[in-house]
Amino acid sequence: MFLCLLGLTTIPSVSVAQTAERPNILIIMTDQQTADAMSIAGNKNLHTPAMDKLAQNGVRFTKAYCAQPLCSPSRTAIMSGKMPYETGFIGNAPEKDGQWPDDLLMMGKIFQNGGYKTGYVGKWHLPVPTTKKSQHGFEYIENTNFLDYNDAATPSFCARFIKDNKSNPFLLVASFLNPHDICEWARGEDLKMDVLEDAPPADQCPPLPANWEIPAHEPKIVREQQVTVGLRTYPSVNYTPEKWRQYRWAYNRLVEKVDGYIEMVLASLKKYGIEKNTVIIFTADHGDGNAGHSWNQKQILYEEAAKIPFIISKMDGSIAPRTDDMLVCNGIDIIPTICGFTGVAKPDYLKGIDLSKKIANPELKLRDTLVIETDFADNEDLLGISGRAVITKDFKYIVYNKGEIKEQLFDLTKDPGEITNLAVKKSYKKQLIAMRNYLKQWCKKNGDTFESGL
Amino acid sequence: MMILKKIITLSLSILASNAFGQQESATIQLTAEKLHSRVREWPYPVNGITVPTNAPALLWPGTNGKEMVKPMESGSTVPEDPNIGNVRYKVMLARDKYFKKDLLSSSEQRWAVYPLHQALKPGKWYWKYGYALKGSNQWTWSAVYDFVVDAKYANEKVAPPIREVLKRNEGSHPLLWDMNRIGEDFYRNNLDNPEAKKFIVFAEKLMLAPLPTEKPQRIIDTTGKTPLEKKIIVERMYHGFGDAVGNPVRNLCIAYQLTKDKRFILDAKRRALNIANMNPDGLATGDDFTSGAVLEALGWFYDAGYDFLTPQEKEQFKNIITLRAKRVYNHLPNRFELHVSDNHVWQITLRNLAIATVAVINDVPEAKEWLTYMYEVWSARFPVLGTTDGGWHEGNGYFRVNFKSIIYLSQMFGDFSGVDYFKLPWMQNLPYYMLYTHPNGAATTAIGDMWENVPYIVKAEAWFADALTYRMNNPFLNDYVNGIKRDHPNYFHGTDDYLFFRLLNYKPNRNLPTSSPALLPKTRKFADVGVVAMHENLAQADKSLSSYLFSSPFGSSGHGHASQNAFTINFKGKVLFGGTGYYSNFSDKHNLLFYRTSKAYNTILADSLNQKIGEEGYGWIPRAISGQHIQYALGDASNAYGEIKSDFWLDRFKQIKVVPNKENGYGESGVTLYRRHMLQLDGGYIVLYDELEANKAVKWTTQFHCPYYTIEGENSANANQQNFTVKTDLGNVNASVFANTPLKMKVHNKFFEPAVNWNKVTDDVGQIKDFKDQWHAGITSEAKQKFRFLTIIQVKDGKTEVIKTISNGNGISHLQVGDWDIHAQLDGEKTASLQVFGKAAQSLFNYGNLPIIFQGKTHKTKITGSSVLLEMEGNKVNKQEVIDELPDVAKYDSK
Repeated sequence: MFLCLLGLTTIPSVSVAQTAERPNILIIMTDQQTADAMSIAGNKNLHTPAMDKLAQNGVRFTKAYCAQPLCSPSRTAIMSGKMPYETGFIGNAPEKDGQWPDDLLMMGKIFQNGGYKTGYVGKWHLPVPTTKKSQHGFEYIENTNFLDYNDAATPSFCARFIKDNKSNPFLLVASFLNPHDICEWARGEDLKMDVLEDAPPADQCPPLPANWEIPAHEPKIVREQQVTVGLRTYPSVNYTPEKWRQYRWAYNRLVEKVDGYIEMVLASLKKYGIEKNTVIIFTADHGDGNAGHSWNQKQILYEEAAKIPFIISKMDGSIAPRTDDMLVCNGIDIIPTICGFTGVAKPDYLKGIDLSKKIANPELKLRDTLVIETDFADNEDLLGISGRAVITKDFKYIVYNKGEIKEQLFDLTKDPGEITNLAVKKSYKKQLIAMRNYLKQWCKKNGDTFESGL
Repeated sequence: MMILKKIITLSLSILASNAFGQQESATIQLTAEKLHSRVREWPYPVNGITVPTNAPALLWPGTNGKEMVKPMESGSTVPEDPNIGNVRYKVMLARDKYFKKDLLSSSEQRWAVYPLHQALKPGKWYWKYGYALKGSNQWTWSAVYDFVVDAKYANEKVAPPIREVLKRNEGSHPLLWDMNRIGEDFYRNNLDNPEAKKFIVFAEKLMLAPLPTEKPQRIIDTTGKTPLEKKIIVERMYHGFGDAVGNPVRNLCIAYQLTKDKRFILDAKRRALNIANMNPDGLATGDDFTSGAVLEALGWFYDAGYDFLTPQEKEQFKNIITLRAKRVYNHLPNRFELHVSDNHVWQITLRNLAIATVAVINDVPEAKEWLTYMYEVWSARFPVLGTTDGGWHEGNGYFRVNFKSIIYLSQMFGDFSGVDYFKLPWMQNLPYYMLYTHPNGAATTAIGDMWENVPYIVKAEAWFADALTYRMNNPFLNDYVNGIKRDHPNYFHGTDDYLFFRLLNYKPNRNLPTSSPALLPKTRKFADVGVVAMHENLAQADKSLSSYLFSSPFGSSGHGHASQNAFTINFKGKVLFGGTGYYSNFSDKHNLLFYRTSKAYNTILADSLNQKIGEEGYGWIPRAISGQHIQYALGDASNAYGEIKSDFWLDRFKQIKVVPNKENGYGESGVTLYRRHMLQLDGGYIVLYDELEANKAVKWTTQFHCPYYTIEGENSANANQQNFTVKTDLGNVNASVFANTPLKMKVHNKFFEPAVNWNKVTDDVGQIKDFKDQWHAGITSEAKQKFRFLTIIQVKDGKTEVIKTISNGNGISHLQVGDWDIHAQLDGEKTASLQVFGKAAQSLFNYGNLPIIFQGKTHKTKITGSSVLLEMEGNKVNKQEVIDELPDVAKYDSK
């Protein structure tokens, strides 16, 4: 009887039209896009008008990180609001029923329960079958299987959803695959989706980054595992500087491709007249080495792989455009944030930050330290090499659980390229110990069983 | 050292005493270094325990006059202590500690067992033992020990003293099997026995065979082999030679006794003389087994054919019998009786010696001492291990090697003593052990040396079980044997080694009522040997699911393996999960580094290190529950890990120049707790819940081995869960392992040490074995001091179910699979808890501190930490609550 009543009371709310209090939420997500791969971020080697437009109509968080720089772990965090170490989803994973706990609500489900129409288009890569709508809560779910031109189809599927739901508050996730095709490009394979022209000679390609060389005192384990995993994933271990420059060229072209498709999704909002009442969050599941520290791929905890674009935008002029250097974790912060924007009830167990407050009040200081994680894997095979990064306004402490040198400490203000490992410097002993202890306490407090053995 | 020993003793005894009465705690933690020592290291009975008999056997550690007798055994290269014959013992027993009241004082003896041959009055008894060196009358006495005899055992029959046994054997030949008394009845009784008739036809053919010469049974190339390998290969070349030449002699004697036809006994004589002339130091009849078989055959003929021998021939037989008998006997007193189970002797040579001894009992002066010794050890130790549950501690691969001796020695000593050894508690439980651990139509338990040779009921098992029906009245045993006879009619061709026993006990028109094992509980615990058998349908094991949990108080003794808390699973009679690797020899690298190690078993490694081999690596089974829909067993292997202590096994490593170090899988891993809860649920589910703790953080690896099928790993989304499937034509099988931290799975088909059949071992039908690769899965945790694994194995005819994760809060995983709801606390820092509830089955199992709500009502356990099973019996809730219960050895025979 109680259930029936509850059902009756929730039904009317579903038909309530979108209002300023219940804006639409559009999450645009790319795959493997590092934070700096946008013109608006100062990158002169590519052109991203759509992303730039988002930044010009909102707040671009310049110190935003993923929970774990790998597809499935990062995506499970975004979809659950919990860190991978909490859920156990620390590796890439197939769609399989049974593994996602029923009591761990997924983003779609939370918004469905909150009376929103829910849609998901594009790359999935989550350990839940796309067919299990009762669990993920996305009533409209399309284009999740690998196909040629996946990304090209995504705007079209998004447009249909937007058109059908223009009168209802909705949550839509537009999940693009690029610039992930850089993985295929790097090993000389056909790209998964589009076709890319041949790279020009190296001297016409972007220069090598300042931090291109492998830094001194780097934990050896990260390079050793490249050997274990092999050339398919890390063909770059044999790259010449010239090849790296071409890699950077190709990467930028793939970012530009996805930018074009993002533009189409944004156009649909305009086309159906809901541009002004839609909060847009733009981000990526993780970054890419992009030749920094001679790294392609992700997983490593350097800035290129771990830091991602994060823009909150609304095309109604309500947000004064700016950048914000508060630490953000897209994995745990998105659900609290979109709940904050919409009034949809946030599950109590979520610990992330509601950034809608920060949008409303730029002076708020909601976080001074962030901990993110990694677990090296050979695709779906975990290698047992775990790491954590503790990031503050100025410093970044990285620690792995294996090897002789396990730690790195960088002063990001002076050394944004993470070249000088201060962990080996006596003068930084105090900072190092403080970081070490902070992580231990943090792990204890948060139930993270990571042990560096230090 | 002495003080330390006392502390250990004290803590064990306090804990042990809790098991009897109002046990406060549900859990017992054993602290003893071992429960059975390889040779006796402490006296029995002590500490005021109430013995489970009115005539206990007093046992004490042997001495050579200087120090305790150390482990030595036949087949080992550890040299025998040359001084074991230097001492003699005496025993004093009385009802007061000053040895005044009802004093019993033994005569001097060379061995360290003293079975009472009279019923003791109920009440407290005190005893001590003393020893003196040869030629000295200075006696060194032990401390005074005490025990209690309960009045409830007052009327038990007691085996008579040896003088009565000797007196009974004072008649004329044939003495064996009481033949001088029953010979005529034996002859008449079997005149119309169809089996006897068939046998006589067979014996006719035997006479046509040429006389054997001292040649190998099989030729094996020894090129390029090490001296040790050569020695082992030569033994294999002649393995079975003794039986091949000895059995015809025995069979012809039997044919004579069945027919009184002299042709048979004369041909027996011709053959007996032939083997009497074989070189006792030659390769063919020189080792303990071949020489023993010859000894037995010579005894048979000397006794049955005594009237057909000339005085010179009698002398010749007596001489060679004495020579070969001494070769066995001289190594026994003050050694064999102390040994937990000296395999070769109990398996074979004790029987060989007993038969030969009785044959010459009145003709060879030393024979009376031999018989006295054997009778005393038999009375004190049979069934070898001081157990009552009917089980065998080495697994079933080697159990069968003991069958012939069990049957014939029980018959023989029963003839002498009037005690029906087939009525001992162990014997009465034996049919159940066989039925539960090796049901007809199915493979045996996949554990211990040579289990792989028993994928179905083999001949020895069939004959043994059948033989037991001649002396037991057990309808389940009769049903078991009927099934075997139905399925293996070719086994019973009337010429097997058990034929004579059947002839001795032949009754025309035997009435053998049967009962279906479906009437028996689905689960049975054999605590003394550490086995729990759980069956979906014991009456049709060939069509259903059977699972087993092992944890042995004997550790990996003899042919037993370091497989404490290992499980095995049989489905439709085939081994799905079991031990892997292949038996060849103790002194073999694959054997010592894989086959008998924990690495080969479905149990857990700590930092990739095995349990220790030897008696010190012991486990035990604290709990089991037989339910309608849920079967339950709890194993404890907390004491199984650490450095190898057993000199016997260390010597085996030395022999092949391998060091049992960490690289080879041995060493201290710091494990302090390993309790494995295992449940078999209706519908084809096995659930394992492991409580693990060490004195430091270790990586725990839970292992799965499929001896016959392929394992395929499955990628798992959640690193805290690992899954694999087993490719089998039996049905659909998969397993999922859960933890609260990331796990890493490795699936492969490589042995830790390759298996090479260098000594050409054969299967039960004589085919040289092909040591095929087998599949293994290991799932390893991060380094954790306290850890839990939860495993769900699905074994189904139809599709396996998706295991749904309902929630993961506070470390408690709530999973749903099929009709079953499972809650398990996976955080090692929190109280261990497991709850399993079946909606359709209306059954609930609970362990730990989760609230118990069953059929709408809240239930409470009587004792915290117990295991409870709630099931519906009609409209009534049937509650079974169990706490830890020690095996008999820890109850009665602890230090």
